[in-house]
Amino acid sequence: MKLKLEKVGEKYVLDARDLTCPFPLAMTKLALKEVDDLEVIVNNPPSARDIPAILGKQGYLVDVERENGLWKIRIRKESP
Amino acid sequence: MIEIDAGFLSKFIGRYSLGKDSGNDSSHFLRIKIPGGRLDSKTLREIAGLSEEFGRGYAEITDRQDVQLHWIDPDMALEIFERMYGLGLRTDLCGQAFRETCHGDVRNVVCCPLMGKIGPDFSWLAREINEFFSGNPEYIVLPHKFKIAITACGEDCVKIFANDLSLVWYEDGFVPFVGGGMGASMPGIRFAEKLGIKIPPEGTFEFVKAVIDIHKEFSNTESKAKARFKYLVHTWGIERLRRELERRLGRFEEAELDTPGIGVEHISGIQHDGKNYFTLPVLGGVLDSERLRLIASLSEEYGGGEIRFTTWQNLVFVDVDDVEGLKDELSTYFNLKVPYRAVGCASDFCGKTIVHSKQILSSVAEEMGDLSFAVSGCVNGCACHPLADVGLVGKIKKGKQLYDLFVRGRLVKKDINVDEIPRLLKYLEEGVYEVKA
Repeated sequence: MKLKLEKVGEKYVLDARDLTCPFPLAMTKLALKEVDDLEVIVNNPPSARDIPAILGKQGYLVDVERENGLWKIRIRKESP
Repeated sequence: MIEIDAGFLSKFIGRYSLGKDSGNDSSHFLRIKIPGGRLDSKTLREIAGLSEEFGRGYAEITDRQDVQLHWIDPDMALEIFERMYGLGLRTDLCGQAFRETCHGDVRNVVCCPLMGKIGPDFSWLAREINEFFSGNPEYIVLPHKFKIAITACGEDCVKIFANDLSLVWYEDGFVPFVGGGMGASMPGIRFAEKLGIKIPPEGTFEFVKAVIDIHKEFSNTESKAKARFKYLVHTWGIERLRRELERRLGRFEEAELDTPGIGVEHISGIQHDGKNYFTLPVLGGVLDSERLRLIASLSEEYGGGEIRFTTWQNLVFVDVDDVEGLKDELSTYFNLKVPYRAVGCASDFCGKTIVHSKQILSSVAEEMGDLSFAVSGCVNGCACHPLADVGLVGKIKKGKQLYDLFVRGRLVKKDINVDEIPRLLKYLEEGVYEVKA
């Protein structure tokens, strides 16, 4: 199984739709080992709640945008 | 494009998930499937270990014979899944949080807890169904979840009328009941109906698969409120469903079976082989890791190390020689006088109640006498309140916790304040609502 991170402008996009908890979070963490600027797309409300809360506590900059039943969660590593 | 190897997740995706909690400081629960409600003492100890390490030592028997843990940290989930994978345990796929349809799976198959002890043993069928459907990519995208029950003792110990498909053993085959559901989704509370046919045991798995295929192909995928199988049965009617099944499987034998009485729990008695069974009443199914280990040890000391859960959130010791000795030991750690037929949902964790189901259950259950009692925290009806002699279903209005009262499936009083509930039960004893034990 391969996670695909598509480059869109400055960021990479991970499509984690239709996955139950905790897999969107687990995949997001894997992706953040490879990239510094990530947008995760989810449609699972608990994941939309968890990912910003957990990664925010870990020092990432997190912005959430809701659009047509989807959440687009932008995650960036803070500048040193 | 960057590609990342995530192969280690493959064995978990589609087979495991965490559910969403929103109360009692818990954000996730883990619902461990126990097919047919049967497990051995070794597995129960492992579950006790998971509870202790990851769930603050709390564990709850659900009314679908699962074990549910709470306070699960999603960062620890993969470690938990790995442990469960090694034990051959799986979870429900808790896709109910999705707002869309087509995240449904086949839930834990519930069975009479005394299969093989006081009636024929069809636990193999529960295992076969579980093995085929759990994690099967073709069947984890059903329009909505699908619930199955199997009983062969001649009584309704599995909540026949609440399931999408119940298989009731009669003489030499299974009589199916279809289209039950106790929640508010359309068309509302619906008791499963007889199909009027009988299925031989060797054809039962294919029958189950055909029913689920019909759910997959024909249940509504546009609206989650209409996506349960009960809505399809309601709109089609029994005859059309039967015709569709016969088109796929050929003609069935006709069968008439008297509708079983609702809501039985097996309490104690003698098995076919002369040994005994004894059911430990567990109010609301609430246990902890220490008592799970104790139960495991007592099942070995007094029986063959097997434990069975019931749909009334209790557990059964089977193959017991010395019942009085077992009861003596249990009485040190458990209140054996709590009622056997009393169910409360996990509303203290889901966040849908202010005064929780289990609080109500604890406060009045011992006053219920022989009446069965079920408290659902909300209209989703997780405790199957319409199937109890006395059922309560919660709602919050203007920030206030209220409950509606059902008596044997009939709504008799709305918007009851919590402090009125003990008085209502007094009325019930006096026959105001014509309930007889």
